Amino acid sequence: MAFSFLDYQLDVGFGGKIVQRAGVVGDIHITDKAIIEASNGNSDKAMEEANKIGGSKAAFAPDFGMIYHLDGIHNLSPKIALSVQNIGGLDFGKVGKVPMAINTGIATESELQGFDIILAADYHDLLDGHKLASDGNTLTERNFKLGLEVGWNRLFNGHHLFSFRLGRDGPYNSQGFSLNLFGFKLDLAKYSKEVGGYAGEQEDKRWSFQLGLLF
Amino acid sequence: MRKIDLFQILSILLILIIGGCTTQGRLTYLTFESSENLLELKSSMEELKIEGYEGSTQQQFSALKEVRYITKHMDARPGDAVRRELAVSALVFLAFASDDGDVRDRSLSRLETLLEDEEDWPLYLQMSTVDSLADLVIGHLGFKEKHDGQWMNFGIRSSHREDALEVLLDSFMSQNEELQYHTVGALERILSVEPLLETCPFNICDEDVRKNLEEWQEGREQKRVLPANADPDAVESGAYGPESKRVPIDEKQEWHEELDELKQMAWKALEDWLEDSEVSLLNKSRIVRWAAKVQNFSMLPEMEESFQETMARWAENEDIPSNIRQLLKASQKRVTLYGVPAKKDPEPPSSSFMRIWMLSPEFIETHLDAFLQQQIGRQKSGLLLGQPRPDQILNADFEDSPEGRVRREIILDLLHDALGRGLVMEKNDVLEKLGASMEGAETISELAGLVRVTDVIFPSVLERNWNPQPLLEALVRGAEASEQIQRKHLFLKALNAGKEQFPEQVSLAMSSINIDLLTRQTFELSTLNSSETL
Repeated sequence: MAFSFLDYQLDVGFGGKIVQRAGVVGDIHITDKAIIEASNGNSDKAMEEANKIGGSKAAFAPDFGMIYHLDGIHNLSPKIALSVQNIGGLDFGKVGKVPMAINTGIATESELQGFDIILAADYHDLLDGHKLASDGNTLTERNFKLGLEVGWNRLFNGHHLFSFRLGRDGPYNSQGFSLNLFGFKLDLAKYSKEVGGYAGEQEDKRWSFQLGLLF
Repeated sequence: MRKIDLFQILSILLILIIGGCTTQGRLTYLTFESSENLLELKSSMEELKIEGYEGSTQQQFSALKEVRYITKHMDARPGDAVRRELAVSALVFLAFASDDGDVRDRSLSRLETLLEDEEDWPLYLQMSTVDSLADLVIGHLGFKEKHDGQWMNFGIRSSHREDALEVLLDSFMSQNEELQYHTVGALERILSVEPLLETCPFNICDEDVRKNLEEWQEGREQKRVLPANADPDAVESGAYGPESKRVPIDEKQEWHEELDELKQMAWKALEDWLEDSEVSLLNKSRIVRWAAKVQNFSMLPEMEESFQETMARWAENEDIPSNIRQLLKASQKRVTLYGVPAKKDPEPPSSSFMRIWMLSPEFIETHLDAFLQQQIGRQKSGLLLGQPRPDQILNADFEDSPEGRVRREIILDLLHDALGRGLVMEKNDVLEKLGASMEGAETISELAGLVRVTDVIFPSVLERNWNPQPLLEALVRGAEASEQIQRKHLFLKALNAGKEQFPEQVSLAMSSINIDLLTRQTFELSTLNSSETL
């Protein structure tokens, strides 16, 4: 649900989600059945046993986001955004918690010779709810994202007929492009995620491909 | 070597492709940034309107983005007022004619903010928005296209006009008093407009209809159809009527009916305004005085009757202040007693008109036009006018009260009409006094009333062979001293009105004013015409 105020200078959006989580968060002894089944390669059985220790629980949390457009700077149209995800946190009891995260970012949108150019910089989890920053720090490189998108021929749905993207997620680069043709949206991206304890420790390279229908 | 050639060719092709892709919005912005030529700016904005109307989504959004920027932020350089006004006009067009819902919504949002937020937007731009909305309703605003060598206005359907009128009417109660005064003037312009071929919506009048002005004016030729057994002698003698006759074309009738419906839409909104205590007495008085003008609203008889019935209801509505209802009745009485313009001498004796500016607004409304018409007759016959002379009425001291402002407005309006019909001023000090009144006018509405009179006073000055310099000098001083753009524009309009009678003096006066190039071009390229809202 989204609304615009102040002659489209302020966009505000709300959302909500219910998440069901199963499993366990905590210490499990080596003699627990879940571990034994997992060691034997019975993953379904292992999950069943783990659920008996932990359980399965649903939690609800709303999200909120806003964008303020600084429309006085010509052909950059800068905007500042703030979003709050999982307001109050998602509490699954024995199955763990997903903390609230506050994210912020700035972006510009320019037109150059018929191409739309978007530049963006975001910082995720300002309050370090996910505890990804090292001790004594509140910020971490892995939560810092940069992006560039060059789009050609904007369509009725706000997407471009063709877009090319470059990005940086923490210490890793990413690339991708989109095509919107004949009612289909095709996205292809190559990116990396940090799966180690700190930025740059362990890179997990991934590819993503999406095919969607446009209405 | 071959590789280098291929690379160069590809580079040139790429540059050509990319260069050719620049959106019209961006091109218009660049023109607005660099050009000081009004015609170039207008032409670029016309191109933008075409792209905003039927271009790709990319083009429409680019057009929207640029006009939104220009209307709000292009205000640092001299001449930017003109640029912003041009952008407002395009924004009004996009708000109703663009085929993209988002573009329409964002344009409309800017228009509503402009009309209702007096703190952040200058009055001249608010008034320009009102004018552009009225132009769109009437049919003057669209995009121009040349067909078979003839310029035609396209892009505005009947439904767009209704929507634009609704926006104007809905914003009225949120407008400040000065803007309301201007909006009432714009509504009068809409109500008085005739259904012309050039303003006919393109969903009614297609290209072929528009090309044929003769058929529009005189009707389509219809051949006589004779029965098979028609007696040739009877045909010869004319018993079956003429060989062909002209019948009015359906499109004209349809456009007339549609325009009448638009007028009715405006008329229906007025009662609420008359009842509202926040609408000033002056603005209410202007509305009810239309009772004397309904017959000049170029409407079909049924619609005129419907307007009269509505006014009869107003006259009995106790939620409308009694002095306003009295004025309404006075306007109706004026029509019954004398007609508009007056065709009979005034009923009260001449002595009743001494110090008429002190009498009740109802008396002035009922009888002054007849009195002035009588003076026109006396002037034409070479007879002495007696008192009060027209210049005494024009330069009278009006009481500074709501009722005083109403009296002043009625007198200025009726003098304007009488001057247009040939009334001539008697004493040349009227020019100096009129100039002083204009310089001393405290509000835009007060000044606008005097500018309307100035618009028609120059023929009188020429006829008397008077020197217009005292008035021109006052107008120059007024324009120079005005900090408010709208006020400056009014002085320039008044000055420009004398261009036809005194081209050299006006041109000299205009060149002596310190104004930016674009404003100068605006006034040099246009003449004040009756379709402008003052």
